Amino acid sequence: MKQRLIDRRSFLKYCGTIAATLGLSSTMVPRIVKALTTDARPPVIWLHFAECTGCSEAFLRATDPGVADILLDVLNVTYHETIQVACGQKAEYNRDQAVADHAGEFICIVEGAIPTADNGIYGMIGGRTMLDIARAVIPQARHTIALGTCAAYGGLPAAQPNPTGAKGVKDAIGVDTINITGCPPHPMNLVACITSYLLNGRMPSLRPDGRPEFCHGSTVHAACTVPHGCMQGYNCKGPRTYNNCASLHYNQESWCVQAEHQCIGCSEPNFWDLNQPFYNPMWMSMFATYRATATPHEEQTTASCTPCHGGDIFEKEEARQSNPRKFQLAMHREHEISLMTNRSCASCHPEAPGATNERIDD
Amino acid sequence: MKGNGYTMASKPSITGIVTSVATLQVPEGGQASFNVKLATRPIAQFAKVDISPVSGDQDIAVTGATQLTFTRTNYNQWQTVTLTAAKDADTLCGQAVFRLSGNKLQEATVTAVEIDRDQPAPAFEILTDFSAVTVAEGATGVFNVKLSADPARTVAVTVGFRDGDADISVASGATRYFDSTNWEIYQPVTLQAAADQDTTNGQATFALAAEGATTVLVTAIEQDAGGEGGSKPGRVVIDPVSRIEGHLRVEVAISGGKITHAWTTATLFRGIETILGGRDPRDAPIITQRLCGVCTYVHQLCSVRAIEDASGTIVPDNARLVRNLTLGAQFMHDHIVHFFHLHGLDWVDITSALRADPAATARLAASVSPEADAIDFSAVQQRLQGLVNTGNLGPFANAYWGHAEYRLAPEENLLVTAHYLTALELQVTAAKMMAILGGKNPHPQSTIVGGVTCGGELTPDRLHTFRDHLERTRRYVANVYLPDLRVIAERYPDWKSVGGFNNFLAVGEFPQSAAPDDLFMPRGVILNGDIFNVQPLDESAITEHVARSWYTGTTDRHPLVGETQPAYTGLDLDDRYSWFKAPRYDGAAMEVGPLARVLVGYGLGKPEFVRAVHDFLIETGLSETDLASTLGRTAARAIETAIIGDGMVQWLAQLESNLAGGDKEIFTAYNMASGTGRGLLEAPRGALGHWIDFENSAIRRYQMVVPTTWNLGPRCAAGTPGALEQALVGVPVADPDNPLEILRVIHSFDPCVACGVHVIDTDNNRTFDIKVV
Repeated sequence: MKQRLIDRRSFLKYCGTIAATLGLSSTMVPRIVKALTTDARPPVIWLHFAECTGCSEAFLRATDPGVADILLDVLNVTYHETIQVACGQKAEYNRDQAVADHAGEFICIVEGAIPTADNGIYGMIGGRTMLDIARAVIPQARHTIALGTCAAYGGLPAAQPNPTGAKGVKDAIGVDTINITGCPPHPMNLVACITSYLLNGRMPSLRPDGRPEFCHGSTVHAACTVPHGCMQGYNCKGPRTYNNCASLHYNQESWCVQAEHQCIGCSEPNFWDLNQPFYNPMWMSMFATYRATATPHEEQTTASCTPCHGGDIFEKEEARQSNPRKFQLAMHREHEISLMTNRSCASCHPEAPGATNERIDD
Repeated sequence: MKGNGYTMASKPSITGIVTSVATLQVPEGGQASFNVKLATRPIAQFAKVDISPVSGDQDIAVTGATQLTFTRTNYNQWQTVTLTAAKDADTLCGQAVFRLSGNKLQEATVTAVEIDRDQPAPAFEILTDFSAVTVAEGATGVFNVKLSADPARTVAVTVGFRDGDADISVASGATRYFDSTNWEIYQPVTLQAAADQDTTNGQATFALAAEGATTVLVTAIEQDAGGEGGSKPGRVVIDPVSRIEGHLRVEVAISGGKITHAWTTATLFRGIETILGGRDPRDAPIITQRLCGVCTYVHQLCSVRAIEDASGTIVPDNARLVRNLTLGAQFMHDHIVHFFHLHGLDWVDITSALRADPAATARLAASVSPEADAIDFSAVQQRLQGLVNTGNLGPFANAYWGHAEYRLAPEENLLVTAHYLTALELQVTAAKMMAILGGKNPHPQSTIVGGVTCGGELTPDRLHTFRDHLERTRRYVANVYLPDLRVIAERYPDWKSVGGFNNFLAVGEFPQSAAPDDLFMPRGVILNGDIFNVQPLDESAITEHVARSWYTGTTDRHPLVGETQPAYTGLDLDDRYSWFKAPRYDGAAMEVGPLARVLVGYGLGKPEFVRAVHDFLIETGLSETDLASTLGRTAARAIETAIIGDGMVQWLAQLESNLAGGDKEIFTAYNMASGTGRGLLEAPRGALGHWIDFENSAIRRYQMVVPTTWNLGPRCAAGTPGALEQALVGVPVADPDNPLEILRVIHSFDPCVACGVHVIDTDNNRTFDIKVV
């Protein structure tokens, strides 16, 4: 094993985290260690198109080991506009040389959407349109990872009215991609994907939309265990958003819903258009009058049941249960759908506008 | 409930036989194989597949078993069938069809083609992904080529000019080679269209030829840029400029070893302001936040401030403090990354570090900064050597290493290189501060119009963790960042007079109370380098010019009435040449950012600034007038990082004191239907402004004037260059092929191009009429 700045113990811990993220057994850890310490670092060409560099920034927050280890020991990043030292023609040379040397072998990571309107003139690098560069580089990659919602599905540049004709990689040039989505995506999902590739030469199994099962296989809501109340009344898109934010956490600290902001659904196609407005009419009245003082929905007992069911229905039901807490959570889940209409909100929150049966998240 | 998108195919009653190929080439006198399996699990315990000849050349026959047996467990595993072609007398390519059949199995056929030895090669065709390619004048266009089948030998595909406009030629890929290993992998062919004098769209045809294949034609269509275009001789062009956020091109003219003119071009347009039109104003903060993932918080907060200005909302004190702490975390993270990872390698030669004596480096480290954590320099050096030994330098490949302008001793290079690595770890810690209050970094989510959402996170425990991260980051600034800066200042003293500019603008930051002008970093304007005569900021003097940018019109306008439509007219340095607009203050180009803020604070006599600047000047032997330079700009960034770190300690203490005293307010309700407002904010890169105009809860206009357009914008209507364009004039360039000095000046401004490039207009559903002349 090469000289590392980090000690072996934290390296093993990291390999264990990857195994868990990928849903692998801990017996795989030694093989992961081996895969990550091979001398044959796979060549990576990281392309930046219409983006904000947030995906690269998120990648720079990878931990245990840090991004230094990934850059120096795990991958051979031959082209990355934000971190590479070479500029101008020298940088272009590095990229073209890497493509020529490693055609059919390199992993292409794409960040950002590809502007396609007017032959792609809205995005130029080195006198060439991004569309041109994409078409010259990407078809020659062994695998292409569309990192972030912009590269996968167009993201913000493609939001209505999509002034630059921005598209995700597959839509723009017709090449199949592995889509790791989110705005930004969690760096561990990229690292786990590449580790899986180093481990057995294959990318992880994908959903029909090109997203890996291990990170985009279930909803944010399914794994959400935030200590405060469920945020569905706040237009939370967790139930319709497929990502593992709730179990991974960002920066090893937190995630949006833990910071008590509802999930905006940032890993789904067209979310900027489909999910807007993000702050529905209920939002402010709930935040201003209810949130500050009230008990979270799933913590409530009688008060939240009686307006609809009357009397002591909850206590009666609860008395029959061996685990009242589990019952509370089950009831909460069961009510999620009906709680999503204004009428049921209004029964407890008279300030809620409307009191209609319209679904408040549509 | 919605379905999950998966569907089950209904079970077929008959199982299909699947073959790996439909046609198989069998060399005369030789063998070839194909594979067989079943499409679905057979109904019976065993399924037998018979292979029998149906028609054709009798010379081709099955070798070995003519029956395959599949079970319910191995039905989906390939089994091999081998065909042999006997030698014959003819020279024709015989053909035979084989049928694969079985009880309750759907038949399949395979056609075997005998390849006669006298025949040249198996047939294949040349495939291209496009039959017509558009090539902008002065630029390139690409199509890809591959073969339809394995050529079974090495084949050269040549791309030759056939007829048409001779300005279009093959730039690369004139010959592409294919063999059995790569025939199905696309290889690119790049065409280029030379800049010409005409104004018509030329057209040319290229022929793709290979022995044994039909020639294929590809049409190239030149998109004329209108008249003269392209770069002239005697110019240095850097495109792309790396180690920045976004896409930037810089061209300079050099005479007598110094820069005489410079042009900066932003090369990406995303149209975010267009996208904002018609949306709910409260969505603008999370949308504008995505302008930039590097300075990720600034647009969100600035946008929130603009809406709060329009609705007359005063946020609770706790919300003010949480926002100050989040923005402060942004500054500390951003400046450290800029110095060590984006800008540092313009001063530090990593390859020289390999020659350093690790023990001497340890002694140097102790003398430069006794308080810094000890580093095993020998291990760092071995690690670098290990990277070099692999032959792949990764991100460090092909830089200007060994350039005569790199002046640090090997030990100094090793010291700062080691810090490049420790700073990579430290920035992860710095980012955690933002994640605690905002949920994640980049793109925190808790700041909303009216306050912040993260009330549940403001517990003693979480704030204690925040303080741990803050103190670790502040120690790094004091013990590593500032000492390294002094090392560089000492070795590059002449850079105190290179790359400077004289006009500075700061909008001020970190509100100390609800009063609009009570700011931790003051607001003000310095003109012509007169740092002790700081003028009050007159917001109405700010206008944006488009005369030299790719937008229609020539009139400069105040942001609130800004009106612009994109109109790309090709790169023409004598006319329009950037997606950036050109902001001006009373007609003058202004520098914004750390140097502007530090000079305004220093000029106004704010004690924190006076103390920090004096300390730096004494330690480095520089004078006040030296600050308006590349070196001063880089130093000011470090100085303010330390000042802001001190400010964060105060804000955190205030927040804890408020919470302990029972004040848990984080949000205030507001009314928001129609109005206009503006938000001002100091981002790490400089002054930022958002202007919003909304009606019936829908955005009518939205405009942003961002730091990088102040610093890197193009010329204005009067022809006055922007701040960087002026700062570059006079910069010496020793070797135009390796223009390291230019990068030092560019990077000292910390360009962030993504946020610089957008248009203003936000009328609902406007469709732009884009001209490409």
